Amino acid sequence: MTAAEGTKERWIQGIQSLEEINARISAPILDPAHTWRWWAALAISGSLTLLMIVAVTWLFAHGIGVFGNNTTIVWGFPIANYVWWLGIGHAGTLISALLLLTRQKWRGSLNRFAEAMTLFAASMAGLFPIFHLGRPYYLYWITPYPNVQGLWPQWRSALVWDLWAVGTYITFSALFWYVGLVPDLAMLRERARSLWARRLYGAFALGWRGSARHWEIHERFYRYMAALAVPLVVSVHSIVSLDFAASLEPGWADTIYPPYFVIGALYSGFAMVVVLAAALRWGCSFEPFITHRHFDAIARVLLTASIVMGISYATEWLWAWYGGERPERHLVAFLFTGPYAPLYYGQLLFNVVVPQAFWSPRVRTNIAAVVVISILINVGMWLERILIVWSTLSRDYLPSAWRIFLPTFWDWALLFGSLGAFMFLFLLFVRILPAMPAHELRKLWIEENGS
Amino acid sequence: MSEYLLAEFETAQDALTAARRAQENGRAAEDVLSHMPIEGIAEYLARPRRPAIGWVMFVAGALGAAAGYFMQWYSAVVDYPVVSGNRPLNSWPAFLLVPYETTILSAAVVGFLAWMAMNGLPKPHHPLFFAKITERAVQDRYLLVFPRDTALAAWIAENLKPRRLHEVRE
Amino acid sequence: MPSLKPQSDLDRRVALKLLATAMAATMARCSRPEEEIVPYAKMPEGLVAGEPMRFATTLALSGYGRGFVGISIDGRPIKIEGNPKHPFSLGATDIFAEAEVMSLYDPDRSTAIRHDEAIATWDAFSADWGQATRAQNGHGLALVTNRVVSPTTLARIAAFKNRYPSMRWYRYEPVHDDAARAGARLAFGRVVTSLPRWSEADVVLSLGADPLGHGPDELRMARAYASRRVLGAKRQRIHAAEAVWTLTGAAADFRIPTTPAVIVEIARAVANACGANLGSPQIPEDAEHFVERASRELMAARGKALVLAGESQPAEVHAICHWINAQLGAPVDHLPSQDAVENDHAFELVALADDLHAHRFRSVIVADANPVYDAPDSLHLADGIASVPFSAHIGLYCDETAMACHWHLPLSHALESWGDSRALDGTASIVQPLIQTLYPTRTRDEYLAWLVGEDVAKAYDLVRKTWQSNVPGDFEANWRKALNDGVIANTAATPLALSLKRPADLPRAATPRGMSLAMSPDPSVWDGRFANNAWLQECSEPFTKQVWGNAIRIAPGDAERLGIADEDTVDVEIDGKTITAPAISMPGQADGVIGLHWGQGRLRAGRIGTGVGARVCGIGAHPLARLLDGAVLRKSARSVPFRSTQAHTRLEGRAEDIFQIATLNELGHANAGTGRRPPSLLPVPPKGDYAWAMVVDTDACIGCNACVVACQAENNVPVVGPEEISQGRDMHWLRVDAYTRPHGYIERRGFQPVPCMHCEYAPCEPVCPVEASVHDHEGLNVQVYNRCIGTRFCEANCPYKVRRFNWFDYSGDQAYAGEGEALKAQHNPDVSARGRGVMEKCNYCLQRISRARKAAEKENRKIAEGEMITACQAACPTRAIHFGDLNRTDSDVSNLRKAPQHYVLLEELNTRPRTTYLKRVFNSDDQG
Repeated sequence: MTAAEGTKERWIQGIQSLEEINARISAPILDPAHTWRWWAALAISGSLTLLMIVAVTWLFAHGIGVFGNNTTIVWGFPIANYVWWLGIGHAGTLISALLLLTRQKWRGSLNRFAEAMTLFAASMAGLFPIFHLGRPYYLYWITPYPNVQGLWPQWRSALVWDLWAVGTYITFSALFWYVGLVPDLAMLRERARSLWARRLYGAFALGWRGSARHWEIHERFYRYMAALAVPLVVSVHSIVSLDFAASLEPGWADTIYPPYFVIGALYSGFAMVVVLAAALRWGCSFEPFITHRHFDAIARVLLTASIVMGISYATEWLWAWYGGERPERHLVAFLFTGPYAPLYYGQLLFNVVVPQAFWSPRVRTNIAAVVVISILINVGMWLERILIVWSTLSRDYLPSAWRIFLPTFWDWALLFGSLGAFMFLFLLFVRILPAMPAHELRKLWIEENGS
Repeated sequence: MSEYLLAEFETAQDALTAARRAQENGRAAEDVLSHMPIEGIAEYLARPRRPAIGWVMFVAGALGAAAGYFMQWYSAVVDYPVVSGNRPLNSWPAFLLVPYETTILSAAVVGFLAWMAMNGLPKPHHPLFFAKITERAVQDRYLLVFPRDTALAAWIAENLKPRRLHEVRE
Repeated sequence: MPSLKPQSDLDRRVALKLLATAMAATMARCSRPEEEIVPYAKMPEGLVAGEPMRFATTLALSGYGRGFVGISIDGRPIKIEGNPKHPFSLGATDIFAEAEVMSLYDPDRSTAIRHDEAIATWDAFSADWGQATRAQNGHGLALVTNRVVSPTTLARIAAFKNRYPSMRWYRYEPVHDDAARAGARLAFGRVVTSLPRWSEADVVLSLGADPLGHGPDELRMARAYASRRVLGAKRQRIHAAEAVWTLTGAAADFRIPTTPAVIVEIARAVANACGANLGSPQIPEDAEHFVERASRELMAARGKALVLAGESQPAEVHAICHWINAQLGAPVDHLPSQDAVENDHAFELVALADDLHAHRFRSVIVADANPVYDAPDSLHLADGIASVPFSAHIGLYCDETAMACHWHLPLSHALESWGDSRALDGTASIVQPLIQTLYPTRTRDEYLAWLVGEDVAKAYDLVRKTWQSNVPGDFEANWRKALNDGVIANTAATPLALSLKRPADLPRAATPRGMSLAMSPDPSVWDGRFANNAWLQECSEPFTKQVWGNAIRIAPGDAERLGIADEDTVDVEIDGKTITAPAISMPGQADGVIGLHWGQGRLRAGRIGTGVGARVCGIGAHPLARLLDGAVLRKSARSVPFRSTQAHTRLEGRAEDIFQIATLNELGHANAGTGRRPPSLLPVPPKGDYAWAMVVDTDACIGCNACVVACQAENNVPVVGPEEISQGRDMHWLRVDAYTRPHGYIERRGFQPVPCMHCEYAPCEPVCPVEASVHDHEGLNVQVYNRCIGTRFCEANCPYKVRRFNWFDYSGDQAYAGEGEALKAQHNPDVSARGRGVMEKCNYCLQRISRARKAAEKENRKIAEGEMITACQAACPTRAIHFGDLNRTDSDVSNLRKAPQHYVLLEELNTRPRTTYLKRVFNSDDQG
């Protein structure tokens, strides 16, 4: 793409100079405008975070009986939240890596905060398995560590696989994110006015000075990491899906689960990226970097994913019918007619039907519309997660054990609390670190404008 | 006691051509400071080298995989065997997932360490930081780095046509 | 007069915690009685620390004694088991016997003498008593008891009458047999106890009777029933006509739901078939085939045919049944009734009320009875008793009657008392204490002795005195033998030779106005005396699986007609009195009939039982009635939760995988020997010294729940309480699933006890991240509590859902833990208590296995077949639970696994369970 083409085709719009890019990107950190929005958001998310802390204290004091779980439906919100958050956590690294490998220009505006989102979402996800445990203080028993009993983890358990997958994923994402940050930290080091800020950014910039030799190694390493990221991301949610697929419960023991989970993860992750992108655009005036074209591009991805989701659901129904196993068939019937049916219809509506609006270019370029639909998609995906847990356990092999799950206040408190904590962390992030990768955007701007 | 000449350029293109010309004239630059990677400029520097970070990561990954599987096999078959759902002690299909993750984990971590080591980072102090202009190098400028030498300075001004020429001394 | 307002659930929960401490103090008294008590059978003499000692003793139900064996460790009674030598236990137990250890340690038991609620002294009482009885030879003195058959107690009452000649003794039993008594009078001119020899009958017709239901005769009947269902035995054909479901109806081959009125007509039809001429029976069409077939088969089986009438049937029907049985030469023994009083029970209760209101008494003694709760409100017993100047109540609890009396005297529990009793057939046995009284209490006999001035009389001496007089030969030797065996030799009555009257005319039942109420004792808390027993409150009703309450059971037709959905709260109004409870519709119940259980709705039961469920016995004018007419049913404004441990009893078309039913014919064609198993890629399980396995015979199982409570007692399984049950949580390691399925043209009900399956390819094990769920070398799927971190993956992946999770610290200080705390004395020291956040489940009574293994290894031999018996197996009155070693090809379980009716629960999942089942088998119409 060259300067000759109309500005409409550009990914960065209304920027006159490299310096302007630097200024805009460091503005939220060094000289923030309209901070009241930020403070308001921080207040809301902060109080939700407080709610979460209270809930966790209550939980540890009284035991997990405070949840709605029962003898049959032994899993509940924590598992669903775990899967949901981890799914959201998938978009960041995947966007960043996949778009890098495929040399997508629109990556630049998204990857930095998307990776931040990944880290925060994955951390939220990582908390829930702990809240879920009957004896959370023994979590470390599933790690291989020297102990007097001479015990090791039971390697056949999907939960042990989870530990390794999620642990690897969080470590990896942090490294990937940090390595990408270093050149921009160097920029902040130079731009920051207060001595302490300079020292701090300086320390984390590791003394980066933009040396060509460094750039060369950096480029290579970054690319290799991206190449590793893709199989990693795919493996993580596949393994999470094995928590269900590696069982013999009806509706869980399906080979479709791994791909179906990975797509679902991508789906909810991209949807969350949309929401955060809109928030950044509005809150940090990043309009030049996050344009209608970005939303349009993501909307296309969401549309594709929604179709794949629809196919996955349909496949489940088909197999239940074609396989002819009574429990499987009964489970599908239960989804459509049982007490959870409204939730299930909500899931289908939000995940499959509503996103079809993206066929229309007018919807795709209408940011408000894309945001609303993305929020609905996230709701739909949460419904999918909770229903995967509930429906199978509510209706497995012995009718005598059939029960229904009734959530308690503490179930909800932890879910919304975690949302708050996630927001809280993200808000801190935009005020401390560059939410846009300055060096990549400079490169992109030069490509688009020459010189 | 290191002292440098910094030739400042407006665009990446100028920097690249200048670097090439300098190298052709046997006066290859020590280094280039730029706010963004410049494709292929490293070859025109004095003493160019091909970083082997890829191989480092590959080896680390391979070792990680082996270690991951061995840990499971040793604990489940040798050290503390238990009957679990009557599965074979060495349930290799189930044992493949942890190595998959350890592969990536060790490749990434070792890769990161290599990235720092090869770049000589962290390096909070570098003589170049004494030049005010290096502030711009990480923001929007391109600087070719030469050893300080009056003759060389003249040649640079003559042939490379830098926007400006800065001297760095400690 | 203190108010009788029930306490709320919250009070109950809080109170239970506070009570914990009270119990600790009493533990000090955990020692053997001072008198010598004699260990059961061949147990070593002298207490060995930690070694269980077994003592034969007697526990009464509705007055009749049943011999059991109490197990005590370090002086603490912890478990009740059956006494094989006692004809009314035959080695088995029922839920009431199992739960007695719980009652013994119940922190709500009365522990002190009280005067108008306040704690008082013996002296104060004796002064007041002296006052009340001075210068009167018992004039205006009334003694109220339940049914008394204990020779010693009868002797005490006689002595009492001596001392106060004109005193009046009223005895009534809430679960009475008035109809049978009246029927016997009509038939024989005298009251008799008729005991069918069930096992000798080829054909049985039950007219609303429930011989397999709870009661003093249940264990004997159940064993006889099972004896005709073992492999090879000639199967019995059971016909049942009943209004509401009974365990007998569920066991029947042919059952029709009919109104009580129609049952009278069926009796008429069968009598006519035997040659009586009682006018033409009015049989509705849908019952004709049933009646025709029943009569035909009864006739064909002369000498081996039996007809039984239920308590809800009028006396005339009972009389007719006696006559029919005589014509058929039915296997029935008629024995002299052990019940010492000639009057009927309801009559006595009414007489008591009348005399009270006529102010005939200056003093009333209520000995171990609760008439204020038992009698209908219309009798106003509370006011009546309150109007008497001197009133004293002797009982285990400060119950409703205690509240109405001025004085209350604490009674010793059977397990801490000396005494004696007789079974239905007169077999006498000694009540032997396993422990010194926990509180300063006395036995009923001691009080009665004391009241006539025998101040220092000890129950021990009183009992010995009774038997010294009427046991011939060397008394000490006999006494010792009696204590050893748990029965006193040849005390059973001999059958009477009776002349039978011609069948009196059988009046037609008046067509009921409104709907009729069919009432029966609660299958969990009986007549209410067990209402404060948490085990029994949480022991589910066999058909509805309801716990912590009672329901209004209606026919689906009525439910539809009145627009009542399951679990709706409804009001039953009758003569202006209303009962409010959740409704539940019962397929297979007769239209127009409402089923109710009495025994709940206690006003002063204690912190567990008070205010649970609805009080049924308060309604109606006629006390202790089993059947009432003119009931009106409507949706209630109030809302009462329906709490059950099983929401679904329908099989949803999965019968062939889950609850298999076969007719005898089908079974004939079934290919025996299910050696075939689904293929698997997994290796063959390692072969250990033993391969423990269980086979549960759903054909023998009558759904009595004895195994459930036995398991609870043996394994320290905590009670979770109503709130947790409503949350869908329960802790029973062994549950009895109740299923209903249409089979041919009738509604079948069946029961399936479900312990852990101990799968060889256990799905719960590979998913556990910390090796808490692992397999041992004898094929047991064991749970290591200390390793468990509570991921609950095992239960999520268990297709049988047999694992139980400690959502709260159920055995510690949370939820119903106060109760758990108080029961520490009852806890089995061989079974560790489980903490919060860990999974637990059935482990085939591992502690018993290792005990047996130790015993065997001492003599260095293998554990013998039948030596290792699980708690549920020991309790089962029908021997439906078989346990043993699959490594022995000749073992019981190995043989049963080859039986044609053997099947595996959810076999297609290929989990290779060690617990397997035998099909429910029915006789079919065609084969004769």
